[in-house]
Amino acid sequence: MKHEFLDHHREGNSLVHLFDPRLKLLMMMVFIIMVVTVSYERKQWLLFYLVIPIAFAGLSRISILHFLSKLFKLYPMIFLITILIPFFPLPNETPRQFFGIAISISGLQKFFLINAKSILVLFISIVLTITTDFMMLLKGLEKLRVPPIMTAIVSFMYRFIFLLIDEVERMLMAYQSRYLRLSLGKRLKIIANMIGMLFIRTYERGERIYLAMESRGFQGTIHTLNDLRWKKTDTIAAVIFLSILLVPLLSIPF
Amino acid sequence: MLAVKAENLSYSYPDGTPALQEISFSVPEGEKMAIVGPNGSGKSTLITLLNGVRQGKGLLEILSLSLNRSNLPQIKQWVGVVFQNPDDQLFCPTIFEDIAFGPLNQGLPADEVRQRVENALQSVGLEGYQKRSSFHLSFGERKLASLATVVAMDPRIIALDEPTSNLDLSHRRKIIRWLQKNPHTIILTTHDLDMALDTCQRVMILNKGKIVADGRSQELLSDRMILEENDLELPLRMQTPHSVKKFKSMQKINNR
Ligand SMILES: Nc1ncnc2c1ncn2[C@@H]1O[C@H](COP(=O)(O)OP(=O)(O)O)[C@@H](O)[C@H]1O
Ligand SMILES: [Mg+2]
Repeated sequence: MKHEFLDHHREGNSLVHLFDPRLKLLMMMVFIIMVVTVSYERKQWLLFYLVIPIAFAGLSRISILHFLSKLFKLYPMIFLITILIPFFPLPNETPRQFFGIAISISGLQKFFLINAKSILVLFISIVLTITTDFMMLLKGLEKLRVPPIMTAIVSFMYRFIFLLIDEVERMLMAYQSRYLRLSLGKRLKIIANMIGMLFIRTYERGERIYLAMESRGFQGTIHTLNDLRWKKTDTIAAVIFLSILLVPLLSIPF
Repeated sequence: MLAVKAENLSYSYPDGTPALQEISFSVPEGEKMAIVGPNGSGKSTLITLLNGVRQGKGLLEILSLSLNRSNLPQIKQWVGVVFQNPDDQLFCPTIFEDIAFGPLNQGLPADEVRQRVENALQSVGLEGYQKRSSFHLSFGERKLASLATVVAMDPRIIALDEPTSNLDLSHRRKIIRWLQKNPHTIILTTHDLDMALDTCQRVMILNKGKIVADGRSQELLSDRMILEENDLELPLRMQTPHSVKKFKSMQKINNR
């Protein structure tokens, strides 16, 4: 199909691909917590933490450019959200003038910190999700006691979101081929109708899927074959990962 | 034994639409029957009644077991339903999960489930498709995969809603061959009367929720009167030499 979001890198046999999905999810969570709690005084730690996603990217034997291209697709959003921060000084702060523009130094620091952290978090998320089979990710979440209803929702979304997008595209096409020029009010009315139609169609599809599930014996719980095995390499990887993560803490005087 | 026995079976949708009105018929085990009729005549509704996902009024027995709450799990295992749109039937991230869904609900052990998935895929000619995602498959492949989801449950009766609609010729032929070699009791609905003639010895015509004819497909599908009364047309194979000749000359033009 035309939605090319699922890339072929999910299937591979590098070390990173073979890590247990639970390991990847846990590493991601620990990494995110460590990164997010770094203060501005210790900003150099962030540079050090960059080692970890880069190491994973290297081990995965996927071109670093591939990761960077994904990163640059996601990052601009964060940049746009944070761009205004330097222009708002704290209540007791006197902003400095740069070329006639008042800029808050603390705001600038905050801007820098948030962006650096976001890049790290995005980077590790991209590396670990690109190298994990989607089904494996779901199974990992399931084993980590994420409620089955949540994994089921994610799984359905993954399956049907593109069907929904296709439907929207078809409706838009049908609409554009019938109307040439309309006033804004009329257009809004048509769009509201379309949203309503979409809602009904999705609802009906949900009902049909439910019938199909029921007719194959569904009784309220989704059973999956969960055959994840924690390997020795996973334990070793976890230990190495945690030791690297803790290195910067050594620099704190006791 | 009778695979299906229905007596005065009716069904109305919650909004009051009477989809089926007091229909009675029975299907012996091993028989293949096609249900035909114009749009809205209640064919799809009847298919969903067969394994109890919708429950009508009147008597319905599957393999001599009457349909009620306590028999429902058994009946769902016996009657596999292939819905018209494969996108409704394939709702998991990969084909493996889709096909394993039924067997897992039956509580089968893991190895057996894997074996079932493999056998089911083989029976529809999709060997090695376990890890594929259904949204990367063609419509024809998805249709075959949706057959496999039902085959994997090892049903005794298979009910299919318009199995050949929207298919290209090669997938249509695959489905026809699959239906022909299948030893199960089969009940299908269709607008493809040539397919019905190829696969089913019996045809039932449904119109506005009532059975208007029921008989051997060779006879019913050559009866122009009764077909036209129900907005149906003679299958190509049954058309008169004159119209066949016309069709052949048309083919010649197309082939040039
Ligand atoms: N979900 C529904 N709610 C209400 N009425 C329905 C629903 N589905 C079908 N119907 C109505 O039931 C009748 C039979 O429909 P259906 O069984 O789909 O016919 P067929 O498959 O022969 O085209 C039609 O009049 C149709 O409009
Ligand atoms: Mg129908």
